[in-house]
Amino acid sequence: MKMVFNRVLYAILLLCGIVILNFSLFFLSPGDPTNLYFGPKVKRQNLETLRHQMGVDQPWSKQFQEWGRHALKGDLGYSWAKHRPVRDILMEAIPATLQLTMLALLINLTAGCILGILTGVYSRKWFGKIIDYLSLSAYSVPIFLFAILFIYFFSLKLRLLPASGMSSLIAGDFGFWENLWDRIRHLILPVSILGLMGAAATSRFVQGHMKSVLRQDYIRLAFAKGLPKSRVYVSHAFKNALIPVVTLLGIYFPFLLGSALVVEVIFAWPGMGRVTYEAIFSKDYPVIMAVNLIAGLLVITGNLISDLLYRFIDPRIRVK
Amino acid sequence: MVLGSMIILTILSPLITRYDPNAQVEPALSRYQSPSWEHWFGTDQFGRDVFSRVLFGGRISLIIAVSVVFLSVMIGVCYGAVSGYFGGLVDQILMRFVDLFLSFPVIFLVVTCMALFGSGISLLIVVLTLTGWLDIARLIRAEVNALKQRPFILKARAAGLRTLRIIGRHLIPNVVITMIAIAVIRVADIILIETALSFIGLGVQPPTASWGSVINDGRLVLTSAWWVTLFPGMAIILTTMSLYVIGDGIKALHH
Amino acid sequence: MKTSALLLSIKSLQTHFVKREGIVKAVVDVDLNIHQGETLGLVGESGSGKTVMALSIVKLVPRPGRIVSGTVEYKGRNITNLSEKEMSRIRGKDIGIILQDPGTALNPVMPVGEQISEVIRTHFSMKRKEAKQKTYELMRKVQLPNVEYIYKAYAHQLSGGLKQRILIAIALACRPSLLIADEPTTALDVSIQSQILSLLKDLKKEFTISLLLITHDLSIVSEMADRVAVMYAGRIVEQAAVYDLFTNPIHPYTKALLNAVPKIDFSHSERSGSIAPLEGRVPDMMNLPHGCTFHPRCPIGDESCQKDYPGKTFLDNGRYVTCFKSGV
Repeated sequence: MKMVFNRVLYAILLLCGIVILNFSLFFLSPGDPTNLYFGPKVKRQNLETLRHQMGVDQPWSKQFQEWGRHALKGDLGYSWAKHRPVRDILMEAIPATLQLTMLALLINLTAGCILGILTGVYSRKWFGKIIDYLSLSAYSVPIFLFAILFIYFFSLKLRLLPASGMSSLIAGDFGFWENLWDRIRHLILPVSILGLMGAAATSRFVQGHMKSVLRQDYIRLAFAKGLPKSRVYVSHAFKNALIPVVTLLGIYFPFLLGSALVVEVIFAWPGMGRVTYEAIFSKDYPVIMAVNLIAGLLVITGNLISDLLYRFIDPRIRVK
Repeated sequence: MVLGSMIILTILSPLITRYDPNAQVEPALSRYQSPSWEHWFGTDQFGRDVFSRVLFGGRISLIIAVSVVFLSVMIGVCYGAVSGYFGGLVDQILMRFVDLFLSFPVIFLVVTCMALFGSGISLLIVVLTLTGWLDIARLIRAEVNALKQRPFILKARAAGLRTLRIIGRHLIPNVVITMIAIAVIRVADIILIETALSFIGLGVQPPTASWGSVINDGRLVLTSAWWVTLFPGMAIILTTMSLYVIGDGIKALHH
Repeated sequence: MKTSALLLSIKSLQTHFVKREGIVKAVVDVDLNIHQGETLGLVGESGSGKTVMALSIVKLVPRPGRIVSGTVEYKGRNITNLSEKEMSRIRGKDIGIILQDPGTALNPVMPVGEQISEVIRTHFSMKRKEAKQKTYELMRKVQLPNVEYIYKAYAHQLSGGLKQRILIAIALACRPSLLIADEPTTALDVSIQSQILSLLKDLKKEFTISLLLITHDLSIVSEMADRVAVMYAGRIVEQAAVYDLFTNPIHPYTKALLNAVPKIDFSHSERSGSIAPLEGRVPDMMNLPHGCTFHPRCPIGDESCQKDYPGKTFLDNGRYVTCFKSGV
């Protein structure tokens, strides 16, 4: 229990670190946020007023404190570009991103583990090698290429699935089930892309582990005991090979969010990534700050969960 | 297998060495020509020769990737070796620092920096390096930790060699092979990241070509001018695939 | 001379490993017999092929190794050509095997007790509870303390001696007639070694098992074995009853082995005997010398030993030697 407490504490510490990091970055950057609003020929007075309004004329530490205090209360500032509280923007965007990423993660892990096990076990047979090549190719393809190719095939050529957005324009008229189906149709493409790419990476990882497990002495002993092949694989090999997958969770979160950003931009999916993208082009600092915070939060939480889960699952660590 | 990939790599090196200057700028008359003898890969919306754009973009993407990896490896190896070798408090502190940076989605960090500091190739390299050395450091640290206990290191310490010398002459040469494997794989990773960034407009800026930006150029006309997207896409896939295969091959040899 | 039934009969066994660099002949032309109830010690340096031979008996040789020729007969039945499925019915049930390193032979994420009971459940259809009870009994037989606690424990929580007992329990779970023990004591402390050895002796008597004991340690062999086979570079160079071998070794390699071990002899006041380590090194298995493989290190070898490999010279008492100069 003490260990859990330690990890949580550490996680919070990291979070603070991220916030500080973020803030420092902003202060290091050249240029003035007010450039967005005015052209070069602006009266000095107006400039000063605006700066005061935006609060950027205060020293670093003060701004940091202000922001911190507001943030703890749940107020994440006001978007400069969209003229809405950042919090509202995020409340809409985060669930959208979560839908996408959680489903993708599910596909990723299940498909990845299965494929990885298959390629590990059948690494010498021809179909094992084929799957291996396929997953290598999938791994080498950049996400965006995958995405536009998929859009090309499924949306334009085959007219099966919608190319963008979270729901159709006439969704307001749908009943519950139609709405659900519509949402699913919109989800299929982006989720499968995110999921499949991740699955390729996972399966490579699992495959490596599976191969190394199969070389172990205890597997040879299992055969020497006369256990049937199926039992050797299922009860002995799989468990050992799959335990490290939990650690993957922690490593994946950052990648997942990053890839989600690209996918969201391409599919015009109204999630966190898209919001960040727009914020960057409009130099909307409060939004960027908040998004980074949330992203950091998600990553740290993911790491924490995977760390704790791993300690719980692996008997070598659990039972001392 | 490794042999096969070597062959692929030799096909790639002409890409690096071909010195095509901005012969990209061509009269607007020849917009969107399909592949022909004059323009092997066709032309894009500004009439620029796609072939030379792909080659030139390849040069840029590869330069970026290689420099990033080179720098990250330099930093990462030293950091990781020191941390792994000394252990104890030094190790703890150094690793906490790494943890902090790793807790951040790399792309978000990159993207934030691009937003704040403008864009440009050197900046891109800097940012990617800064986010890239972290897990190299971790991996090297793990290896060094394992190597630390081996007899030949203990012998060196018993002989009273100075610490720096031990790290430099004895430890590092032994991690070199792993390092090379990691580096090769990293180059492929960076290419993927950089092209993704260029694709969404945050990487290499137009009119400079990068595989990513060329693909983006062709994105809207996929149905008609497919060549603008296809060729850089294939270039990326071939490059990254062969790099991965080589990297895996090196790793396999090591064992 | 007891003529008990022949349990295991190996004839002209050859196991080769096909590597990119060449072919490693790990087991060459091996003949071995084990009778019911007897203990055969298989002695040799590391790399002589002992483990591969043991694995060949139950067809568990890892790739790229293959049994190239020869037969293995068990209880009168030729088991060399059995299918994998039929073989797995014999393994564990009729032939038990204890692998070399207790540290890595147990699955780290499965409770050790279950690793015993699964053998029982595989070969006899039994309910879980029944198998568990049988496992407890078995664990007590191998002198494991506190069986309920250890059943649930994981491999990393147990000491080397305890792990070895678990492995013995696994091998004996289905009361096999033949037990193959590969270096059962090498990884253990000396004090534990003797415990394990006496345990094996007791179990052997209680369950009437034949034991193939593989080791490089001659003292163990002298204590435990009825007959001994000496292996060098994949071949059996001498096979004899244990007393005969130790008092009157014939093959130069056997002689050298015995001389290389310090003898504690309290019958003399001064130190008796000197240690004479063997000269040379174990040959490169891909580049074996012509003729008799031992001749480069042999004190009495000469040119006549370089042409062909010596055949078996049979002596009385079921003994044989492969040497041109056995002087018989």
